[in-house]
Amino acid sequence: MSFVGMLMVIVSLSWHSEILRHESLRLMEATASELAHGHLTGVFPGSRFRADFSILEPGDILLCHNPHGGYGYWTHAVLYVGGGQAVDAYDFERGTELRRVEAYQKYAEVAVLRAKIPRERREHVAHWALAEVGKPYDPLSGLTDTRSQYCSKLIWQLYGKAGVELSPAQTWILPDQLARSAALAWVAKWSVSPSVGRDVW
Amino acid sequence: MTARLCWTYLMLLISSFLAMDRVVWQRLLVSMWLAYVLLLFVQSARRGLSMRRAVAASAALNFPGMVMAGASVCSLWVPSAGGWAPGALEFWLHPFIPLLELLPPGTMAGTSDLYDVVCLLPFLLLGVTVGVWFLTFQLSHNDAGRSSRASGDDGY
Repeated sequence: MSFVGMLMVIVSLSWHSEILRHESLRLMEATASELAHGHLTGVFPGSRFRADFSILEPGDILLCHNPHGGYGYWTHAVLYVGGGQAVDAYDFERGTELRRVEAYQKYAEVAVLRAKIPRERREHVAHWALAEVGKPYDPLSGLTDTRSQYCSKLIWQLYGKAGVELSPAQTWILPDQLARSAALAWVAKWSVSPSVGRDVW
Repeated sequence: MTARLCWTYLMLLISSFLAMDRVVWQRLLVSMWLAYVLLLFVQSARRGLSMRRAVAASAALNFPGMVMAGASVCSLWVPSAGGWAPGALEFWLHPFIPLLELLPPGTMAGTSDLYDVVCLLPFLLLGVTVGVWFLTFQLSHNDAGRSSRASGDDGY
């Protein structure tokens, strides 16, 4: 049985040598380091910034930042679906759910990104996102697995369905990769820091 | 038996993580492991392993999951506890998620159905493995009794 077990590990490892690539290792290092400090989604500032969510359009992406996050600068991503609500795959307990956008004012910084495609197609993406509500949360689910979601994978998959590749397929899709996407335009940014305030592009 | 169960589970855990994005392979792995565990309990019952040892082996296998599930459920009412316990639970029982996600998605009382099932899973596994042991033991015992009665009849 030990031999069969080792064989299982070796077959899986040979399939997934990408996991040992530099970027994945860096992510693992950052995650492990923040886990040791007791947080993964960074440190919530405890105060809320002022934001004008009326500028949001269905299909917009909200990137959220907290300092000391384990996933990179942007620690979370949600998809705005209209009606003041966003589809959010945040944690294992609640799975994928609808949340009021005001909930994201507890982050240190929030940026709004918009796909460079016609509004009608973005609305399709928002419509598809509603069908994701209720799906379980799994940060270790692969990109082709549509039965479980995590925040940035959900957005990546839905825009992929609309024919927009937000970033090249990798083991994990992180909010930072969405922030670097050439297919997205930055619309606004709000922050608790008074020096940053609200920027609109 | 306990060592064998724990060792194979660790192998399953590592293989499942490494086989990320190969869902069919992950499902196959966990199905094979479940079949192996059930077979192990059937064999142990046939070989006369005591009830106490069978329960101890299954409890040892499921103990980490039970502790994490308990801590995770408690953390739902203690916001300051953070996401440690649910995170640990999800990682520990992750090999089962590719199989469990085949269930229809949904939420109950604000929690994901998958989360609810994963919390119950260690207890279900304990029940099923001990149940399989018990049934096999009973059947083997009855068969043995029947054959000894049959051989006794022949003797008269």
